Formats: sequence, structure tokens, C-alpha cells
Amino acid sequence: MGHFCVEINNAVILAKFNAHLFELGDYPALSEIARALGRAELFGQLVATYEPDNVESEYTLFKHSSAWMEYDPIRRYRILIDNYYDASRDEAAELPPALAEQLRAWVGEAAPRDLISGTPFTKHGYIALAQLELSGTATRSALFNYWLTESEGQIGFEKEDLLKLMGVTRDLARTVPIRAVRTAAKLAKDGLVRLILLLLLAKRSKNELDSFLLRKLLEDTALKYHNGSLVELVKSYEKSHPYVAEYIYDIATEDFLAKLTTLAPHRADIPEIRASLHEWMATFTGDEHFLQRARAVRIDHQINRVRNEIDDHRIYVDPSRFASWIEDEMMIELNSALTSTGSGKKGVAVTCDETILHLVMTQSYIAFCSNAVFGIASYLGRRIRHGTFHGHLYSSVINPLQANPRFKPLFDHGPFAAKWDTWKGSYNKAVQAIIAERLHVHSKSKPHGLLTPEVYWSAKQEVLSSAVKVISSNYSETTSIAGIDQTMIDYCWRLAELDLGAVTRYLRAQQAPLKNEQFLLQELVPAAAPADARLADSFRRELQLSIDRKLAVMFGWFKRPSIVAPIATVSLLFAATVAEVKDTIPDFDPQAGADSSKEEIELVGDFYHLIYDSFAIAVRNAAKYGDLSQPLRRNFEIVRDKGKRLVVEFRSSIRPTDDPAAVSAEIEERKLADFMDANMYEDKSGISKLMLLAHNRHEFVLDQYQVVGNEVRITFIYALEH
Amino acid sequence: MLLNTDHVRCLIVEDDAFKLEGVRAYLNSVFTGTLEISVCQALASATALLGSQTFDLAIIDMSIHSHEPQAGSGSPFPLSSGGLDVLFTIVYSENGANTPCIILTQYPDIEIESLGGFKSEVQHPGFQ
Repeated sequence: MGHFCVEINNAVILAKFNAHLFELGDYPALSEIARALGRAELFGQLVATYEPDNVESEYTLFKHSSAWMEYDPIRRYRILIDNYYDASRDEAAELPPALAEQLRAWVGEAAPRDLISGTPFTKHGYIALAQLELSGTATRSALFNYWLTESEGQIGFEKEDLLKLMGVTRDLARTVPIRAVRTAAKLAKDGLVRLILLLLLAKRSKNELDSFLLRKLLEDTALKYHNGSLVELVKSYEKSHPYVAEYIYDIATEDFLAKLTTLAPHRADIPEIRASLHEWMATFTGDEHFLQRARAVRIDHQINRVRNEIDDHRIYVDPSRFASWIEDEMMIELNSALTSTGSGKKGVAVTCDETILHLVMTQSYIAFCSNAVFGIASYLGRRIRHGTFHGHLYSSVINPLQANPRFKPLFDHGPFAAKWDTWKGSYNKAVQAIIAERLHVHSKSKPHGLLTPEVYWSAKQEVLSSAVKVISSNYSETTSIAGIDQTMIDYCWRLAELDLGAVTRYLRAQQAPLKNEQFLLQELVPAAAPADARLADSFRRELQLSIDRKLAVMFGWFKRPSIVAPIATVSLLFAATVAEVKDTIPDFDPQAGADSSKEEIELVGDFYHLIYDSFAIAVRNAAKYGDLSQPLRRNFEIVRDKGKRLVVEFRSSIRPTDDPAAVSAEIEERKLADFMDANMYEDKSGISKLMLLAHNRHEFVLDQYQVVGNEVRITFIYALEH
Repeated sequence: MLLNTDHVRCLIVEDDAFKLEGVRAYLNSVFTGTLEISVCQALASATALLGSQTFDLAIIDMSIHSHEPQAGSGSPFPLSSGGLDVLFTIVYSENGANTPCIILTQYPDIEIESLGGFKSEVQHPGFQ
């Protein structure tokens, strides 16, 4: 009975909320109940429970307001907010005349300047609500969008007004009406106004021209006024227009900078600019966390340099397009899964619905693989199926062999040429069949498609659960969804790595059938003229070798691209630290005589930045103080006793001119020294830096740093996640 | 009109060797002896070249890299719509508005709208 009453109640509230769609007065009983619900005199008391001067209060009221739809002021308040502070549609829909009239009565004729005047700017007469609007940001943002929409972008902003507005609005980058802002940007005479409007469009619009115009304006401004430096440009806005500076920082990711080729003409400029922007942000906010991000960007670039895979990313998913998809398609679900009461009311309660998060991740991963514009499937289609795959596996195998004058006598011999044509025909058919049937996402129309994003076996299930836990715990810690897209992208790649393994395994299995060795041995080679028997066999070997080589290269295509990959082997990390040290100590060569058999241990996630930092210190000290004629001995091992741990040992020889006892005494002294300020001075002891690292990171232990005989021995222990 | 010109300067932006050779061979067969081809593989090199030269014709692959591949400098960024940036650079350059451009793509549904009043036609399927 109780449940039935609640349902009736909800139905009446729904009818009252949508009263503009019908005549409520035609239903007297309904009308009477509706009047009894949400009594006007209670509304003021309800709003008064929110702190009037807190900037978050109005937004919190807005989030709570869906529970109070029976109040008429809430209904009218939501006409504005729901239609003009809404990320789910590109443009606001045209309002029914009755609602449009009510909206005009609610907001009045205020101009953009009134939004920053410091006095109430709406006309509804609810004083407590007007106060929340004044100290808050939601209504101001909705009004900004309302005026842009109403004027179709021909509103004309005073520069100072717009700058002030940027500081007292929220989520404009997700909610502005695209067409109107585009028009306003086109009409803007002031460069800064134009820059702000294009920055607002950047995340919202999917139009490539909008993005190009923003980059062009940034490039022109940086070249004209800031020595061609984006970092200088950002710094110049820091004091006068901090919101603009922060917004540019936010938008200038490495992917964005990759297209800013006038300011970043070389590949290495991209991480350098991004790292410098992180460093600026660290100074700007006083948050050292951004210094770590700068370091991470530089480490990743150093690793990519050493990896030296200049074209290793046959598979790619455009992160900005995918992030934009998440914003469009998954944000409502994410917001419903992750909720907090926020500030503005006493106490904060956080809820993370892991069932919904699970669903969001699986849906997102399907798009990550299957989406026709940015998904792996589209990349498979454009870069691999169309041309490259066939060119690599067929044309570049067959053409060089046929063009080789050494083998000309074979092709001049009719029976051999005929058999060769037969072999080529079946080889071509096999390659085409792989392209046509296998290099696809599995579906009804492509039942042999090798990518199966919807199938979860235990390893994928584990990654999926881990993703849900990380998203959930990040939100619990921060109550913010900022950066959630990056976490989702990272976990989608982790899932994709497992799925892409199927492609590589399939290609590996095709090695023998593709070559059709039986035909080569029993039909092609015997078809050569008797005098060319040895030449024919040599031809067969070269053909098979060529196919093997091409396939080996292709196995590398179906991996997570290193460019987006927080993944590295221990050996790669070691090589990257060596390369960094060699920049200053060119004679250093630790590789000689080293056993690298155990170095192919793969590490996932940000974890390898910790390993890189500790390696860099050990390797630099060995290069700086050790005997360069002797190898830097090392041993990397996974130990599974107390959880999974990586144990790393370095052994460097003390120079013959140095006394081991004196070296030992020095090391022991360093170990006892205060290490808390180790990172503040560049020339501080490496040992102090290691001690600080071990102090700050619970997953890292400096197990040994001491002299044994004429060697310095270092042992690091890292607790691994998976 | 270009077929009647003595000297046609053509920019090809393409990072796939097989497709590049296909395009080059086709163009050479059409413009017998009158064609001067400049090739770029990436957005950065194309943008730099367009800063100093103008072209009578541009053939642009939609999916290119950010920078030319170079050993020891790290992987360039793949740009799934980098060709559009080359196109915009031409259109917004001083003398580029009259340069005919052809974009090669297998994209079924890339959004190419409001090119500032310039006529845009997308050919499907792309060059193979």
C-alpha cells in the first residue's frame, strides 16, 4: 500500500512538472493534490538550508532539485538550467511558447554585464534563491548560454566582462551552444575574446575547423608576442587572465600539441612543451604533483626515444575523439554512478555504484574497439585492410623477388612460371581472406573477426574489475570526475592488449599455411629447369624468409602503441636511463658483459616512472664514480614470496685509484644524512634521493647500498600490483 | 585546366609508401612530363613546406603523422584527420585559396563541414 502511494505521488508530481503540456485545471482532483504538494511557503525554508555565500551551494541545490519537482519555483528554475546548462545536446531545443514565456519572466532582460554586477540578476523574486545564484555559478552559466543562443552569437562581449564571467561560471566548455559561439568567435574583433570563445568551443565542437582556428590563433599570438613559445604565452596570461592560462594548460595535451607544428616543429618539442606547462602549473598552483607529471612526460619521451620504434603504431585510438565520445555518451551514466552530496551542505557522502561503472566500462570498451570513426576497427580498416596489409604481406614479398635479375632464368622457364603463378594466386587469396574476414571486430556479419571486445575471459575480467575499482577509489578520494577519461582510456588499452593478442596469435598460426611449403617443395622447385635446381631452392628459401620477416614486423602492429603506452620492459627502462646518462658521460657503456636474459619483464602503468627514477640514480652514480672499464652488472628478478615483487641488483666496480674503505665510509655517511630536502638541489647525493624515494613510496624499498669487496652493491625491491 | 599547363607543382602528403607510389604513378601518367612532385609524410613537414611554397595541386591523405619519422626521436603522433589540417593550412594561406585539393580517405563518415565557404567533396572509397 505504501509503495502504491509513493507511485501515485510521483505521478502527480510528474503531471504538475509537465503542466505546460496539458490543462491541469481540467482534472480538478489532480489539480487539488498538485496544489497540496510543494507548498510555496515551504520553498524559502528549503533554499535557506544552503549556505548563501558558498560558491558550490547553488550547484548542490541544482543537483538536489530533482527530488523537489513538486515546487513550482523549482520547476521554473529548471526550465533555464535544463535547457541551457546541458551537455547532452549541441544546441538548446526550441521551447514550447508557454515555457519560453515563463523563462523570460524568470530571467528578465539582464545583459552579460549584469551577471558580474554583484547584484541579483534574475527576476523571480525568491530572495534566498537569488542569493545562491549570485554566489554560485550554475544560473550564471545557463544565462550566458541562453543569451548566446537567443542572439545566435551576435551578442557582442566587452572583453573585461567576458574575462570576469569566465571566473564565475562553470562547465561552459561542456555546455555552450556550438553554432552561436562559432558565430561569436567569427565576429569577435578583440583577439583575446576570440581566443576565449575558441577555447570554449575546443572541447565541445567536433568540427576540425574550429580546432584548427584555435591552434592557428594560438600559433599566431605566440609567434607575434611570445617568441614562438606557448609556455611564455600561458605565463603572460597568468596574472591578468588566470582562467585563460589554466584553460590553455588544460587543452594543450600532447595530442593537441602534436598538431601545433609551428610551435612544435620537432617531435621532441611536444613532450618538452607539455612538461614545461606542467612545471608552470606546479608553480601556479603550488602543487608539487604537477612536477611529477612533468617528470613522467619526460621519462616517457626518453623511453620512446630508446624504444626507437618509429612506426610502431599501426593500431591507434584518437584519445580526444574517444574522450569526447565518453563525454557525450557516458557522462550521464557516470554522474549517476558517482555521486556526492558536495559542499554547500553539512557533511559529504560519496556513492560509487560499481554495477553501473562496470556497464560504463564495457560499453566504452566496445566503442573503443568498434566505433567507426575513432575505434580500433576504423584504424584496422583505414591503415591496415586498405593497402598496407596487402602491400606489406603481398606486394613487398612478391615484387622484389620478381624484380631480382638473379631469379630471371626461373621465370623465363614456362613450367616454373606457371607454378609460380599458381602459388601466387593461392597466396594472394589467403592474404585477401585474412583481410576480408579476420581483421575485423567480431559481429554477425564478420563471424571470423578476431577482435572480440564483448567476450570476457578471466584475464580481461580482472582488468575490468581493476578499472572499476580504480575509478571508484579515485572518485572517493577526490569527489571529482576530472581525469576519468584518461583512466578509462588506459584501461581500454589494457583490455585491448589482451584482445589484440588474438590477432598476433592468428597471424603466427598462419605462417605455415600462408607459405604452403608443400607446394613449394613438391611442385614449384621441381618445375624449374634441371640446370636451375639449386637456384630454385635458393628462391624458395628467400621467399619463405621474406614472408617470415614480414609477419614478424606485423606482429608489432597489433600491440598497444608505445606512444600511449604506460608500459615498458625493465630492460627498456634500463636502456633509457643509460641513454640519459650517456648524454653527459658519453664513455659510459654498461652493456658489455651483462646478462640480459631476465630483463624482459613488462611493467604496466605509472609504476615504471618510479623504477625509472630509481634506476636513473643507480646508473648515474655508477657512471659518475665507478670504473668505466668494467661492466655494470645487474640482475632483474620477479620474486613471488610476499606478494609479487621485482628485485633489482646493480654491482659496479670501484675505480682502481679509489680506496674501497673510503668509498664505503662516504656511502655510509650519506645514508645517515638528512634526505628530506634531497629533491630541492640538483647536486644532492643520489643516495639521499633514493632514501627520499623509499620514504615517499611504500612500494619501493632500498634494500642495499653498500661496498662489498671492490664493488658497490645496490638492491632495490618493488612491490608489484599484478 | 592543369592539363594545359606547362609546369604543375603538386604536393602529395602521404605516409604509406604503397599508396604514395600508386598516387605518384597515376599522376605521372596523367601529367606526362609536366609535373613536379613534392612529397611530405607528416603534418609538420607539410606545414613548413606550405610556409615557403605554393602549389597548383595538393593530394592529401587524411590519416598522416604529426612529424616525419626519425630514428631516435620517438614515435610521431598518428593523426587520424591530420590531412584536414594540411587542407586548412592551404586554404588559410595567402595564395592557397585557389589550390585544388583532393583528400584521400577511407573514412565513411568524417565530419567535414563549414570549410569557410570552400567547396568540399569527399570521394569514397579511398585510393587503394
